[in-house]
Amino acid sequence: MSAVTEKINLKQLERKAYLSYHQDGLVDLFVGTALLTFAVFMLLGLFLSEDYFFLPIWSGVFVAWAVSYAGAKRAITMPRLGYVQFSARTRGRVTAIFLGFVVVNVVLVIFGLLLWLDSPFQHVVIPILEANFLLLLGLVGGGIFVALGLVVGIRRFHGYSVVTFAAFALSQVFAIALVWPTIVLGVVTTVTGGVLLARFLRKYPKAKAGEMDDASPSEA
Amino acid sequence: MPAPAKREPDFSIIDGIDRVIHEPARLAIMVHLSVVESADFLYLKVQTGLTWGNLSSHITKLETAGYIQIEKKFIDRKPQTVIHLTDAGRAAFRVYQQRMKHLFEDQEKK
Repeated sequence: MSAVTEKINLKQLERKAYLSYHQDGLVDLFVGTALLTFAVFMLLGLFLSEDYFFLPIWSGVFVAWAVSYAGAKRAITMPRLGYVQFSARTRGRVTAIFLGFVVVNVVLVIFGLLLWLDSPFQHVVIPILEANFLLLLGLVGGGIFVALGLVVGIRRFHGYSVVTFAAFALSQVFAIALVWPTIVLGVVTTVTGGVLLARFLRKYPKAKAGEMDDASPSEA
Repeated sequence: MPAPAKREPDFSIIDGIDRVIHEPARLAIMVHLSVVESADFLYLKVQTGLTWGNLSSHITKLETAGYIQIEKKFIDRKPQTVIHLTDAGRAAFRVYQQRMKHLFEDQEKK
C-alpha cells in the first residue's frame, strides 16, 4: 500500500506539473527586466517626477509587460510542455495570490492616505518612514517574494527575498541611492531567468510540426 | 506416499481490478488526467514519457472504454485537441484506487 501511495501521490503530481510551468524562467526574466526598466527611469529622472510624466510611461510599461509575458508563455512554454487546464482548486490558489496583492495594496494605500491626513500619526510615522525608506522597501519587496514563494511554491523566490532585503538594507546603512539596489535585484532575477530559460529550452525541445496530429486517434 | 496437492494461486483478490486502467501506460495517462481538468497530447507525452505511437494507442483504448473524451477546441484562435476524463472515467479511477488500496492493506494484514 505504502509503495502505491508513494508512487501515485496525486497532490504531488499536480504540484509537480504546475511547477514545471514556472521552470521556464519567464517570470524571473520579466520581473528582472521590469526592475531594470524602472532603474533606467530613475537614472533618467523619470521616476516619481513631480509633473506626473511617469504615470503614462509606467502604465504603458505595465501593459506591454503583461501582454508580452502572456505571449511568451504561449510561444515558448506551451509548444514545449503542451496545453493543460489545471483544476479549479489550483487556479483558485493563483486567484488568491492576485486577490492577496490587491488587498495588501488597498491596505497600503489607505494607510498612506491616513498618514497624509491631519492626524497625530503624521508627525510621528512619516519622519520614521522617510528616514528608513530603503529598509521599508526591502521589507515590503522581500515580503512580496516570500509570499509568492510560499503560495505558488517557487523556492527560488525565497532567495530573491533575501537578495531584496539585503540589497535595500545595505543601501539604507551606507546611504546608497535607490537605483543601485534596484539594479542589483533586476540583474539577479534577469540572469536567473535567463539561465532557467536556457535550461528549459534544452530540456524540452519543441515538438516537430505534425507529430501531435499523428498522435490524435480522432484524426487518424 | 502421495505427493502433496499443488496449491493453486488465488487470483480472486485481483478479480475486481480494472484491466483497462491497470496497464502501466494507461494508468499513467489516467493519473495525469485525474489531477487536471483537461490537457493535450503533448502535455501527456511530456508527463508520461510515452512515444507518440504508444500514447495514441493507449488513448484509443481509454476512449473506447469511455474513460476519456477527446474534443476539438479553439484556444487562442488555434485548433487544439484536448483530452479529459469522463465522469465514468473518474468514477472508474476512484474505484481502481480503492481496490488497489484495499488489496495492499489486506496483504499487509496477512
